[in-house]
Amino acid sequence: MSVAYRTEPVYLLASILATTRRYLQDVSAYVIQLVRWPLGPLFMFATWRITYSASGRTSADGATLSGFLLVGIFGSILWSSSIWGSGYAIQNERDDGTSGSLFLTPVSRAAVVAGYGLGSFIWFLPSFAAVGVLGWITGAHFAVHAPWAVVLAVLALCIASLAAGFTFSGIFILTRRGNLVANVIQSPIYLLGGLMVPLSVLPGWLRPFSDAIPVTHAVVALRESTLLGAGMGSTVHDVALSLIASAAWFVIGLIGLWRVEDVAKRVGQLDLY
Amino acid sequence: MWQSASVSSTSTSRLALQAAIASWKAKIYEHIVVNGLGGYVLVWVAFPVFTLASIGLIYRAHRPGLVGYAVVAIAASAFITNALYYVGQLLDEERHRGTLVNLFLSPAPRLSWLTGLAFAGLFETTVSAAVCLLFGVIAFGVRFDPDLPALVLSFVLFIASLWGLGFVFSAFGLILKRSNDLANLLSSFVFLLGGVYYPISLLPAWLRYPAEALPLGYGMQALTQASLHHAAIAQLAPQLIPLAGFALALPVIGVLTFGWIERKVRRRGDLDLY
Repeated sequence: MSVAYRTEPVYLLASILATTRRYLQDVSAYVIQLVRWPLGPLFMFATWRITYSASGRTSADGATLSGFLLVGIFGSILWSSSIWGSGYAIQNERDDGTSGSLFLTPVSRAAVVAGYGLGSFIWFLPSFAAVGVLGWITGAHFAVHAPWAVVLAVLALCIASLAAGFTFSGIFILTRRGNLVANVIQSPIYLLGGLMVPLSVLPGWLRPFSDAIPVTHAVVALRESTLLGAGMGSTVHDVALSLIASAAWFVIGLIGLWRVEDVAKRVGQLDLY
Repeated sequence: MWQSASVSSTSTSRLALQAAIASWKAKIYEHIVVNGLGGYVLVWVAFPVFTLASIGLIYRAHRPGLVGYAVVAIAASAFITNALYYVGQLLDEERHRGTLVNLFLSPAPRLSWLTGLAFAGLFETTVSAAVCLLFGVIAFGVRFDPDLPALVLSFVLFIASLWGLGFVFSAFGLILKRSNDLANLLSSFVFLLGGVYYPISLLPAWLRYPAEALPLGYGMQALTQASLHHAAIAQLAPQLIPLAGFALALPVIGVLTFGWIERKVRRRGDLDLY
């Protein structure tokens, strides 16, 4: 009889769920965390909404300002979740002094990263709800003609965020400057990913960088399907682009995690300090 | 008697100055070594450049007049970020390393090493603000027409206000144990009401009242007017007078609050608890 912890799906799922539970217990231990995450996106939405009003714009990429920003904030919450949840998973273990133990357990590292990612998605649910209500109050206008296109776009956005998280999880710890890198990549996405700034105003030379980010296409698909009444045809196109980019990021992420494992075990730097 | 008092006072001042300089040096050196020079520069360049690029691109087409405001205000916001995050986060880091209690038990005056740490942040923030101004000139063609006395006075009053605010935030960080989370929450509030992306005069009326109860909007307005439109001190009186009030009151409030909360935390004995 053999015990194959890493090959049986049930153990994989159990590892993901256990990590998710642990993540949620950890973040909910402090009152400030309970207050900060739902309120932060609300203030952010209001700040960008006033900025757009001050700019004299009445629409952005064909959508109402509130609608445009609502989707953008939705994407930015997922992006934050991918950076500070799944992306920061291994780094977090390192900071807690438990990365050595993690590398010695038979649990799949990918399951741990996925568990952090799932936990942070759940943690951010109140933020989504709060921003949704604010967007609706401030006049977000929805035009949904193909509900399945919306579902597809949301799924693509979640997958794109998880892909980014996988990529960052290896990179953060390999650079050994996880916090610094995480902070550096936080702001460019608002511009390059089209989250807060319409892609139409980006200079042409920035577009290739923008196109290489999976979240960019998923956000376009979500905006078009929820705000502009796009059908399955155009949504599928953007979702496909997002999935291709996500796949590439996943591969980079897996290579990064293998590399972390290698550095940790072969070089003997389990804690990677 | 007089002589001994004088000696004691001199040595205390010297100790305070030495502690401030030592903590300033240690923090700068640590950040350069820990982050590497490349990473160090990157972190202080990426945020202002991308933030300014985003706001500048939004304003450029319809309200180009606001691009100059955004350049100066986003540069100045680096100092707000410093006040919000820096000292509180450093205290959190010391707690994680297990050295926070040692710091508080050392004979060096608390205010001295805290000021040294804050000034280390000020140095980094100045780099960040300079990059932002430079980027504004290169990418958006912003031109400055500064009135130096007004600019210097506005800046000094602005920094003094922020210094006081920074102590208040750090004090609350001591109690909450999560300064970074507190700073993240406050920064979104401050960016909304602080006149960073837009003048507070463009806020809806119901948001303008709380914004006017903070020093930030006055500081931003004075700095932008003094640096872009050659506004003299007399012209800036409506902003400088309330800002001066904040600059006098907030440092006192900050030091008193920090002392009060520190005593409270020490009495409870949970300074180094997570």
